[in-house]
Amino acid sequence: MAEEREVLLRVEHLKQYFKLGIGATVKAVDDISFDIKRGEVFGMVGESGCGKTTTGRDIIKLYDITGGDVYFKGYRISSGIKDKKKQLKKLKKEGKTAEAEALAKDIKQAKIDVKKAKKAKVMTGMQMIFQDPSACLNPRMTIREIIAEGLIIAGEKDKEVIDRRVKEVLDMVGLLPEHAERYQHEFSGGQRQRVGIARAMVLNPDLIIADEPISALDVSIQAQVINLLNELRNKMGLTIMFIAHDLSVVKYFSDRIAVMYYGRMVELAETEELFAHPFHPYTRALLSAIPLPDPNYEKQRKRIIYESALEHDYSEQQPTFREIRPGHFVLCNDAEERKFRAEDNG
Amino acid sequence: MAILSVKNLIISFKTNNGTVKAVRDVSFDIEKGETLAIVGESGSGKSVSMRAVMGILAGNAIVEGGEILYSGMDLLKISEDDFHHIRGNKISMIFQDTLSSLNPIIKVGKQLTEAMILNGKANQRESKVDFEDKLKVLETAMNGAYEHGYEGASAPEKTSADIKILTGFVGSGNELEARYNAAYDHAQNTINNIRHILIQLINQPPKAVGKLIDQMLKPADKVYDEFLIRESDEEYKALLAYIKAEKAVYVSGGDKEVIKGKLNELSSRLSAACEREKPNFFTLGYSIYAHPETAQDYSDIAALNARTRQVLDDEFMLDFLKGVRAGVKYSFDVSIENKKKAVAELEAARKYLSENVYDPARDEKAYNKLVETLSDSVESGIDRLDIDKDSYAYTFRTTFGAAMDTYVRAQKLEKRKAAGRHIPKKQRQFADNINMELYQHNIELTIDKVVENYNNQIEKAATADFSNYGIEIIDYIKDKASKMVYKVTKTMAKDRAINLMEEVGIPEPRKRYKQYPFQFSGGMRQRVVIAIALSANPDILICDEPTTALDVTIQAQILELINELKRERQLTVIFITHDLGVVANVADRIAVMYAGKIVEYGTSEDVFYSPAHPYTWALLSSMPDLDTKDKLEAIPGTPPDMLFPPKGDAFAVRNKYALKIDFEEMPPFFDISPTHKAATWLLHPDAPKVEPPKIILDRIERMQRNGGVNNG
Repeated sequence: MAEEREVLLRVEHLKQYFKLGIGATVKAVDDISFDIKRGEVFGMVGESGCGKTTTGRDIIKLYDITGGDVYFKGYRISSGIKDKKKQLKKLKKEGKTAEAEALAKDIKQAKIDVKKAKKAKVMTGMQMIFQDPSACLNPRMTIREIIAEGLIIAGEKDKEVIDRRVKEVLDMVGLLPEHAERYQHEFSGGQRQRVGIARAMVLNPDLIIADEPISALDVSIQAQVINLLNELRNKMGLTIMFIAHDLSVVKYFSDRIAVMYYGRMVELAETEELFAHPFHPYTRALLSAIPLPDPNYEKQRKRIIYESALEHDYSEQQPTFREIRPGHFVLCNDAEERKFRAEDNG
Repeated sequence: MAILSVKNLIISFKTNNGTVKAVRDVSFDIEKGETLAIVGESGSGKSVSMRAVMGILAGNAIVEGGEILYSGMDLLKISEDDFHHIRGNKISMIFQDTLSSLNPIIKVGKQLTEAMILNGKANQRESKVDFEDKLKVLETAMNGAYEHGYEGASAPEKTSADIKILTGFVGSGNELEARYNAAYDHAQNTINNIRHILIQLINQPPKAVGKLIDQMLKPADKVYDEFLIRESDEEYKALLAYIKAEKAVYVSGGDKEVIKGKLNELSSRLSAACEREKPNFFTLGYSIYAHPETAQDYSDIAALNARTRQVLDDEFMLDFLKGVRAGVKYSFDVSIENKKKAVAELEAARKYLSENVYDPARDEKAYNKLVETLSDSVESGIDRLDIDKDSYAYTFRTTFGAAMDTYVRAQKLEKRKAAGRHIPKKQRQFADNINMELYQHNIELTIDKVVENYNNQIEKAATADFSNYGIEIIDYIKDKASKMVYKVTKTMAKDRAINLMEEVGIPEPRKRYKQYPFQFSGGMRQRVVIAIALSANPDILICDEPTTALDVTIQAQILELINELKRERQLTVIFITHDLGVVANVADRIAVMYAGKIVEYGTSEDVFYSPAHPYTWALLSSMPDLDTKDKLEAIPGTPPDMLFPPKGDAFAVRNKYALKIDFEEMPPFFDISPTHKAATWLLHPDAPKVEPPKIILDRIERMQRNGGVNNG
């Protein structure tokens, strides 16, 4: 079923490095690749600082990516020219002229592609919902102004159209039309997050990047927001990239889940598959740590502890992302792949 | 006995729009070593009540009533100075907002060690005062015993000479102990470092490991002590030199197995040295002090301990103990006499106060005098040699004074109001909320507690056994003396801080130690805050949503850490959260709060397997767990505005099971079982039978069927 769907977003070898003062760099995202298909909810989990938020921001072009390519609706929307130029230099030095030429061509093409994507305005098809709704809404703008801003920037000038559209999205997220004239401080946390969702929905996006949309909310309100997102997705066929650290919610909500660890994607599989057959030791540690509202279970729980230095021996071969079962990818090297396959069969 | 009990706590906040009633009549007890989880949404008053325990309520808060009893003190009434000894030291708190509890312009390492060093200094100072005080009190008591002809009492000249000897040899024992402790810490540090290096050897490049080895060698070079690794131990020195040489070989491309073996050897050598029996520094101190010319044989520690104990007992201790015992008995007898007097006075005062109504013109001076004389007589009843402090008696002066002050002030304002005179702006808030009965009750309560305690002690006096008191006192003095010299140095604090950082799961703590808070991610910052809270070894740890911003693995780690500390140190934990899933792991008991009141209270099994309040149902059903497939049952609406708290059950408007009476009258607590109670009219015998939502029933059934072994 999943194979039939159109690929909406493709990320290839995405790298995002940050420079820290003198010399040091942080590899926030280090060479990850994945697809998101139309209509699916793609969950992304991992501990804080593992680069999941950075990945989201890279995709929506809040950062200039260091390396790799991002394709959206068939357009190449961003490309890590810097990294490619560095590679080109290296290739030339090593004397691999054929590969160097191909890369040079790719760089040229990438520049043209990115310009083309800009002209085609594909980026309006991608919107983001942020973690803290009160921090991402301007306190001096009314809700109408906040929601309409995107439309105006996208070139809509007709006031009536804007009004109608604002009313529509407010209705869509379960707010009343008269809420449009209020300011954000007049709303509760759940309503504020609804405004955030309304703002993202106003341009009829294909893809929504939801960056921890519920973790700053109260429990009783979290359920409201999850239900709303679920409804929107079923009604409008939205594609959502759902970034969160609460695994119960991610499992409840997502079709496929990617697990990240220290800037690398360590495992990617369909939800049921991931929970039934976790391969990577980090995923296992993560799953064993999920708290459940069940005291007896909690008292007996044995948590698996993951220490990357002890778990893997990558001194001989660096790991790559490999398919162990259909649609189930794990970051491993040859020795580990053999081990995982043996586990799968035995 | 409960270590902390909160009774009928009522707190409101004065705002421009009116008074917000944040906490409305909350009561609970916590036993030592127990975890209480307080669950509720934001604005339910859970953080406010805990801030009251810490004494850090915002300036516009008014405590309208209730009490928070901790080790016999009412934390709502003690002075700020007294609170300094409790806050952070005895009761510590982990805050939710990490950015505001860390100083942005000071490096994390400094913030971690600051408290340790200051606490260490304060402990040293306090122990010194305690040590000298106790000795002085002991000397006076022993002299008193001699005067009154107690059996075994020694003459004043002998007593003062003996005490001089005691101070002297305790000092020389302490010097040895301090040296030993420092060396021991260095050894432990080296062992930790080696463990770290052995892990790094697998993946790190040789150069980085070489650097680590260099760092490790520094403390390894300072472990020399008579009883640990002797300075004359050439073998150990050779081992260090060998590692140094081998390191150079390894860095320039040598084999890692050789250095690994040597590091293991060093580590096991040090562990063996650390595990060896420790000399008894107290008795050894006497031998060195009394016989400086005799050389001590350190080769066999057990024999040394036996020998020095023998010497101490024969020459000094047995004789001295007789005198101490007489002194203790004398002091005890005197205090019992005084206690009887104090009880009589207290009862008279109680009667007088309950019969009289305060009149400013007549009673001003009399009341002040009453506070003074009563406090004096209560304090005279304290046995200063008793090691277990009766905190009611010790804090009587401040608590009683404060209670009387409030009462007098209220009476004055009432008179003013009655006469229709102007009330100053500053007093108006107080004047509007006068509750005379409560103030009177508070006064009576403070008196009653002391009377009760004193009567108990008088009763026990007849059967008192003095055989061990003398030894206990000597032990106490010994303990204080050894704390007196236990200095927390900068390097020690740093090592401990790094260990703590490692313990709470901060990777590369040595590097992180030198960074500023803004260089940490949210989860890492939270861990730093937890490490700081733990560094003081508190009795009670209040965790205000400590794991809300963390991901599951770290959350599980932190919860395990808290659980472990709880077991090891008999730590009492109050855990505030809005996530019921988290609580199942840590809580012994759970209090569910809504709109400033506890709505359900029970053990964690009670609350998870047979929840009774509709709000608890709503909380449980609004979160998916790993097997949830159905639509979640969101709670409609928002929490009530606490400016105008609803008349009936506060949750009624959002509650689809609400009865008519829920809107009219507040439900009382209905007991479901001895440990479980809930405030909802649904439990009333006349109420219709209502089943919890299906999603919960399903889940409970699933949980019970699996018997605790359902892993997704």
